Amino acid sequence: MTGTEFEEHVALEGEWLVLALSKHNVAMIRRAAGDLAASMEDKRANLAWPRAWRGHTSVFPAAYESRREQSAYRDRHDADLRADLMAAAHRVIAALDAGRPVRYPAAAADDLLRVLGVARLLSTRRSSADVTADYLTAVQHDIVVTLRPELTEVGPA
Amino acid sequence: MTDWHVVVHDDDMNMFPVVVDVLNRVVGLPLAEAVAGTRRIHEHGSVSISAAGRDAAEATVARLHSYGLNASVGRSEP
Repeated sequence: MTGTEFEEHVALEGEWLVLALSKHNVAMIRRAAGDLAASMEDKRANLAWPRAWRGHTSVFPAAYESRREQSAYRDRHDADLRADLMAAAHRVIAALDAGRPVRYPAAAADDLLRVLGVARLLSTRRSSADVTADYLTAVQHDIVVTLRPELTEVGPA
Repeated sequence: MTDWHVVVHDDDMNMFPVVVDVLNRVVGLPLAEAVAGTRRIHEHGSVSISAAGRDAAEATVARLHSYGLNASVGRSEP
């Protein structure tokens, strides 16, 4: 998909999702997942991190317009959201580090969908184009249509 | 009584099948409603996809955020 002659594909083999990806692109996902895991840690303990990582809450859009309600919402949900994503990112990293092709339990594919979905927002805004974000979006899409082929043709009316 | 609901916003990032899948499996909309809802989001920019109490609406919004979707909590005052 990106700068390689290697033909990539995602397939379902029994209970495993198999992602045949180039070495370059595995490294790209590995880096994105690593950045996500780091950015989801308690930012107060990591003031030496780059500014973008410290501002991790910006990857999550506001749930409320009101600053007071948004702050209360964060108090209620932010820690769980970050902990879940960090754990998912570490599981994905372990699978990526196990070698190619990447194999992941199909039943846990939501780990991949969530990590790819949020990691994109570390490198770009929703309205901007970015090579890494576009690639993560493409892999996320390929995973969904591999698991649910009936959604392949679903699109605007 | 305030009616709390989940508002999903369109963006240039998330692809159609992924949004349908998340609305169907994660939010719990029947597949046909997930497809129709995704089309309405695409056409109108944002759509209220479910009504619930405040806690349930917030939990759903947080789940949508965890997939990289753009969602917020909306309310209708009587």
